[in-house]
Amino acid sequence: MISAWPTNPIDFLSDVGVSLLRAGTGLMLGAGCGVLAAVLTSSHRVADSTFGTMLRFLRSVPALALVPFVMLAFGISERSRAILIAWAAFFPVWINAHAGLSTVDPNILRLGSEVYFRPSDMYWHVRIPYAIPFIITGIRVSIGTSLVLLVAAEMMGASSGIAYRLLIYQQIFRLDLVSVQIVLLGLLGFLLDRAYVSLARLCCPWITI
Amino acid sequence: MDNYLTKSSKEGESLSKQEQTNRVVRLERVEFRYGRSTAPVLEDVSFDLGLGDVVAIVGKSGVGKSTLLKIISRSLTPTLGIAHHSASVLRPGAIAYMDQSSTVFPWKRARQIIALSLSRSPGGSAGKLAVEEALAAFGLQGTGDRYPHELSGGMKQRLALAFAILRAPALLLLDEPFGSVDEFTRENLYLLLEAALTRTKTAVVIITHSTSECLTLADRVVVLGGSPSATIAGEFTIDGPKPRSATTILEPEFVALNKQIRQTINEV
Repeated sequence: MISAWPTNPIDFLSDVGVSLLRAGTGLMLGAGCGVLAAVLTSSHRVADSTFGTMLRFLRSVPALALVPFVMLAFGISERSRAILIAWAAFFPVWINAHAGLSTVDPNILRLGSEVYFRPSDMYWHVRIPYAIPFIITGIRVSIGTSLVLLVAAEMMGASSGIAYRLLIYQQIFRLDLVSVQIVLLGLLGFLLDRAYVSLARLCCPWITI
Repeated sequence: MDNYLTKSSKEGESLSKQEQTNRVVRLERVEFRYGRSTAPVLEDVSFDLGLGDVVAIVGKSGVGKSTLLKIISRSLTPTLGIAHHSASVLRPGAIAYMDQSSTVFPWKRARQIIALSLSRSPGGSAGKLAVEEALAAFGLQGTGDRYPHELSGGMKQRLALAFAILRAPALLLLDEPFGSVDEFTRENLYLLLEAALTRTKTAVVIITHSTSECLTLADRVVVLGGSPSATIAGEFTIDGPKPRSATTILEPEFVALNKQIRQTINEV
């Protein structure tokens, strides 16, 4: 099995680095847009019934179905890959953040209204902190989704990355090397999840994750 | 000084200046129904609450105690009758509410929760020393850095009580606040509440199922009863020095009063 490892360690490390950068860029883009969309859909009923309804429709469209359109619009580029990953990362964050922002415990709302008197203060000091555990869970789900989409994204004419290498090995029927890449992807997902959970616990010690 | 707001000018004119400045809430022949076609939950309820008063509302389950509390807190408007609130109650943050859920902000440390409450008190200071003193006064010394989920049930209850009372609200509404804690914790909470109330002119309304709680804390007990519409079935004044302990309320006059209150609850 040792012989199955990529011969050049620099290639190997650069694959991991490139894949992480791609997944990270897409994830940040998707998660950022997800939170912003949730702020909008949870604040205004009209926004929820129009923009929110549209998002609920788009949510059922698999990101993979969009590959040709993304390629047509943005070409075979890093931007296309980031958009594809962002698309998949967006929905878990949006749904969770929307749930958190729009279902604040009435007891917490009442308590907040006793000490925060401006709507903006209520939003920043009560609604947003209340929704943070939901947003954190949404991003955690998105990390997994981003890695799934990373494979599709790196199949879109990439020249490096773990999934790109996976595709190459598939084409030359080196199933031993394919297995290594699969394990590597799984390991990457696991380590990213652990690192994320540790970071979330460090930044928000009050949450249970 | 607070101006007493009167919706009914005739009634307002008949009140002396002293009465006007001391009164916090006054309900006059209040009726409340949840739907037009339903029977009123409350009927002909008149109720006065002055500065520093501690009034307990008792009655059977589902009689309308919480509805009355919501009218007092202005969350509900009476369908008939008048609810007067003094200007001190109408200012933002003047009403504090606490129930047995002991809700506090889960994302704030005990110290931050105390500081937030102190910063909202009129002329209050939320300096480091004041916060530490307040933590100690509520038996929370050494727990300032902890989050609510890291506190025991009793500690969390004390923190919720501190949050409700340190900002010196004009009106403190307690909806069965000590229902979920053990007897000794409850007695400790009574003492903390009494001690905190001596420093403010906060008017307190407590809803409770426990007549011994009424006798320990209240100056006045209002019994709500009647079906399908509840009204005030009896009102008892409790004299005697405070704080009253668990043994004080075993004295003969308190036992007799307890019996009377229970009888009134059961009769209506």
